[in-house]
Amino acid sequence: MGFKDFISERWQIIKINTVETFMLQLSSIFENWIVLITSFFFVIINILFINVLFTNVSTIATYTKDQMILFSLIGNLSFFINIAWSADNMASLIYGVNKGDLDLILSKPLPSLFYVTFRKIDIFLFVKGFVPGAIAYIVIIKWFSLNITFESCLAAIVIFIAGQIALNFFQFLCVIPVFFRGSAEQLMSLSWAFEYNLGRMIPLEGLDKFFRILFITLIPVMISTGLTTSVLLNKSDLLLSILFSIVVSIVFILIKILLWKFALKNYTSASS
Amino acid sequence: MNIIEINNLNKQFKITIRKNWIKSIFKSEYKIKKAVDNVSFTVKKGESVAFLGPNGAGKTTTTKMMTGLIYPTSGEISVLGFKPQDRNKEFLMKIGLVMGNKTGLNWDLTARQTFSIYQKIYKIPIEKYKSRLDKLSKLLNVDEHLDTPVRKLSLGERMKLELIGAILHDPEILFLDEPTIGLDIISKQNIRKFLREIQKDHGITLILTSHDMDDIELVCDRVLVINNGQLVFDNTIDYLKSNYNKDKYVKFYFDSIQDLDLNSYGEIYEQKDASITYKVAPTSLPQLISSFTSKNNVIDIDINSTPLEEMIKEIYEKK
Repeated sequence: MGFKDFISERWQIIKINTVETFMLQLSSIFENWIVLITSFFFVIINILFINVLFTNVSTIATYTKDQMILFSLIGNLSFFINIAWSADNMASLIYGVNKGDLDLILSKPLPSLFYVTFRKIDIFLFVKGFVPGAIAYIVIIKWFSLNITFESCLAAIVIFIAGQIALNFFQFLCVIPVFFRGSAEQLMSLSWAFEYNLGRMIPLEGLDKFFRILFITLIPVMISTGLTTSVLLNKSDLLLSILFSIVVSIVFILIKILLWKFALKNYTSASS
Repeated sequence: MNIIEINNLNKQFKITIRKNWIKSIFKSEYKIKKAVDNVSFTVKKGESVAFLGPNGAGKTTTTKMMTGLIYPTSGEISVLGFKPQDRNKEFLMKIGLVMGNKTGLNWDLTARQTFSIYQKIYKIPIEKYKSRLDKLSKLLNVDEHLDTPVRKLSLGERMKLELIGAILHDPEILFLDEPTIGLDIISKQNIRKFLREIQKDHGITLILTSHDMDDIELVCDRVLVINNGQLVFDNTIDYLKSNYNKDKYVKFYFDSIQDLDLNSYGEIYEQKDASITYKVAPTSLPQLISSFTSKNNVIDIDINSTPLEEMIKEIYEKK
């Protein structure tokens, strides 16, 4: 298979799965709107909390109030992109292995790892969850006070994408024991706790060097949030950060492929 | 021409044992279960082959190895010239799989919506896809259900649509794992008839696992009996029927027994509080029913073929 076919096949899968998820959402269009209200209130409470924090101080961990709100905006973007494609797919993988539904994917001519990674792409959920809150953040931030350049924007986009790949890898790592032990829900919750409580809450500069390295390498929950914001605000070296993120995400993809092959060798398929 | 060649195939599973709850937290104990034990056979193109065996015999595990879902522990498998466990795309394009208790159709979508996804996955030309879907859905009488969400369909309708999904891309081999499980008698008959038709008309090779003797009799020409992971019988369905499925098992349900000499009617196979089962030759069947019902207050009667367990016992005895 040539490179063009390789890309074309994967693009087809993304298109098919996006349409399928969209059709699924349409079949229950009046449900799940509660996510819109919940996420909007989260954003309002988050903005109020930041206001309280900055009542008597002008910076926290070198971040001004507007920079902190920008960090929250990026944290929210990372969170909703992650749940719109990665987290739900990893939960489906646990279910698929336990119930044997994975059999019906493995018996089709599909690149199985890519397919299970992008089985659901929930654009509806992303729009409902992210957009209303994002508007609130965007309106409140005093953009002229932020040191954002065109280069830092481009670098932040690359790092954000690499960060999402890394985050997906970390969740995949937590899910893979399901092939050997039959369960992985608790580990999945652990990855969720790291991402939710750390990735979205503390800027990179708020941590000491050891934890900074830890949370952008072994537990990569801060690449798409803390590191992305830091680069966007020109607080970190752009080139070095891009290079680092790309290398980390490539290494993670390679490990993921190897782990998948190993997992399939040990797949016992739920009995019928 | 052989399209499936299997030599000395083995599959072992490591099963966790939890005898002591406290100990199992610190150290897991395992036992090895031989699910498939040194199985060898070949299948020719266009054959219709059944795997027959009780639950846990190893028939589904063998099918899963032939479709590449699980890796064999040892031995060789070649299906259509491919090693199934390599999951080669060309190989997967040529097979179809139906599992009676798993759904390939998306529960919340209509079957047509899922089929249009299959059309893209299998790269079926759009005109061919439309005509094939039209033909198959009419043949199975489910054309009116194509646009109903799958969750609203009955099990029988869903299974017919599952079958269509598995053969839309015109596979060379169709693997069916208990395709009629849980279905009513009419749905079972329709599916059996359909499978026979596609096997005869399209030359598709059928590999069917079941513990329902009727599935096998009506759909397959050859039967492989698997028990405890071992292949104990490999011959035609006619040979199996004439040698091992000779008797009928007649079960009478009653309120009370008037005639206490129950042995006078024939060989008693099983006796319970409110039922009695006789093992008889098919020719003695009318005589048995007539004499038993005339002397006893019978509520209901079941007539069955030789139970699978009996057949396997007999196969072992003859060996």
